[in-house]
Amino acid sequence: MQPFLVAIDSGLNEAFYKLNRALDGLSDDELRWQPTLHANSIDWMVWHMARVEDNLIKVVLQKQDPIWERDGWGKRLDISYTGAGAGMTMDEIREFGPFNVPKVMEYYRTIRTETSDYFENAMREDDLSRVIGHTNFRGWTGAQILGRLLCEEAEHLGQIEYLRGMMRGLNK
Amino acid sequence: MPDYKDAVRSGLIEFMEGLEQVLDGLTEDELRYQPALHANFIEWIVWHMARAEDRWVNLALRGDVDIWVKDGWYKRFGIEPDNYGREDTAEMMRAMPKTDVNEMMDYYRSVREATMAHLDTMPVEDLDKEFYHPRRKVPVTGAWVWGHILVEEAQHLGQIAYLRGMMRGLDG
Repeated sequence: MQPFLVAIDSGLNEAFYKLNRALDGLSDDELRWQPTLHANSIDWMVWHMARVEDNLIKVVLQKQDPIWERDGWGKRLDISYTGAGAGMTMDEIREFGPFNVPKVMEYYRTIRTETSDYFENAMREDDLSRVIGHTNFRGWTGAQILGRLLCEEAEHLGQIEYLRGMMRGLNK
Repeated sequence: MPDYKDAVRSGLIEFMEGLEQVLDGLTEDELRYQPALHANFIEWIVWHMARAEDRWVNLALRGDVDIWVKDGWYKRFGIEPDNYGREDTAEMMRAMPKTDVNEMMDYYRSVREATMAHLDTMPVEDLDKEFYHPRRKVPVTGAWVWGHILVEEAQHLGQIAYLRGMMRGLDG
């Protein structure tokens, strides 16, 4: 693995570990709870986080189909929407779901494993410096996509932990 | 500067820009807003983020004194030199002295300068080297520390963004 990819991979694994911890034992109601009408629920965020890593790694960097499509997760989760959630209005978000969170986490775990495989076996230094040429990320390099991925995943993780804290109190 | 550092560098730049954006124009009341009595408010989170990066880079990686102490920031803010928020109870958090968030960001930017300078000059061997976790006193690798800085800081940035959204609505 390229040297600094180890740092990114370690960060992604840390975030994934903490996500599992933050979700542990939450009820269906807690997973759907919104502190205000325009604030995202935990279950929506978990789905969104998984979709983001799938798109950034598989589609943007590896130029393959997303695992969502490849493994038929839309059917398995009964979701026909094919986007990752960016640009959805709050009305659309509230109508969307509830999500089967354990299944979404199974999908997410597949992505996490394949991302590490990609770092370990396929990604080289010039993949980091090369401009990736994706319409949504004009002028971005592979390294910037990885920085974005880790930040975005950890931001949502922090939100989920905060919501858990709001509902249950500190460290519960 | 090797390109492989860019993934970490770009993550650091991204969450600092994100932080400046989510703080922009917040009032003193918004900076102190708590959605629940034990939930952290933005002003406290910003301080904690700056302190966390300072400790990881200057205490753990550089084996030096933190900038908080070295440059006497703790005196300006009236907070203990060894405090960084991790051990705060909800009562201690609520008792945080009133600070000027712009001044706190000056402290954070000065930490950031040291972070970038260290990242630019550190040899790649440091990624495998063992450093001491400043709180838990256990060895951690350099790669783990960089991944951890990105995850922890982005978690807190996500919380600030969520709080801003709760108060102001989407894109407010």
